[in-house]
Amino acid sequence: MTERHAPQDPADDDAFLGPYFAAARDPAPPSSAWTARVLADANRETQRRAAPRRAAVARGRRIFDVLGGWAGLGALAAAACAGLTIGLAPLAQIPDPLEIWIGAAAGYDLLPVTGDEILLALDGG
Amino acid sequence: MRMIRPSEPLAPRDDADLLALYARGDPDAAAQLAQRLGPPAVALATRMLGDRAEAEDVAQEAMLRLWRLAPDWQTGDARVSTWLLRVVSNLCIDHLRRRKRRGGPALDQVPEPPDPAQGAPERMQERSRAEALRAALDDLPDRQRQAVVLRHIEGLGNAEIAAIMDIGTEAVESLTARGKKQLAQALRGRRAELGYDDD
Repeated sequence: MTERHAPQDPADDDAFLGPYFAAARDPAPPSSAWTARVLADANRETQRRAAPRRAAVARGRRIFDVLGGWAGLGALAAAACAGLTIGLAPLAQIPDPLEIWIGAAAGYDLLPVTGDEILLALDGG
Repeated sequence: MRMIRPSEPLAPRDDADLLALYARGDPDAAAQLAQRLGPPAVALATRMLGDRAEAEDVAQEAMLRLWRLAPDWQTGDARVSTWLLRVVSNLCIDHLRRRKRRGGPALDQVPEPPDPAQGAPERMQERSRAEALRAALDDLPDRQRQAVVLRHIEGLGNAEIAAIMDIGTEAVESLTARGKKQLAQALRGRRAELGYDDD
């Protein structure tokens, strides 16, 4: 074997290293087992992402069933609308609940004396 | 849910489009991405780690990170392949550091995977060259090795390497130049030993 003087020029380095780099290229492609593992990961990740959405849908469905389905939900909505309407603009035919409780016309005195009695008392009468 | 199978027919699409399709639940898109991006990811990891099994683990981890990122991938971001190779590179560097801390086998001590054409003299010489290069690469600093592998073995351009390594193109040129110089010095010392002093 002959030992030659080592060239220092970068271009010489490129020429010298070329066959080494070529020998290192083109490794075997990934095995089918590797590809299968990677795709299994992809499947798992897709399922993991879908899981919270499925759980939320299931929760919503349970609440819907508890309320009685479409019929129950419709009745609930109608009752809510009626309550809102009565609260905002009571119908004339509907009696005032305060009147029912107190048993008199709405409006009552806060003091057990009349205004005239107060004026007389102030005048010293 | 339909399972993803590796043998489904491929249609030409941009990697980012495929990733968006996968994020929306298209299983074929994942298969196409794995077939496109898997080989360079495994090849890079193999060159950097010198161990095929470890390289496949690292490449699988990088692909898993890609699957997880898919719904948040922004079309204006870096190319998917560049992003993936960056993740592979960083995982390999972490792996090499852990290996050094553990006192694990150096790159030149890792056995070469079996080669079906091993009997042919020219393949033997190719194998010797590849092994000598791996040993010399093992002595390079991590960043120099990464740059040399990406430029001269994976055949990427300086701009893409700069994006992968998150440095400027001038830094890439500097790293590859210094890496090549050190490789040439190391390999010239082994040339006669390898039996091809005629190049």
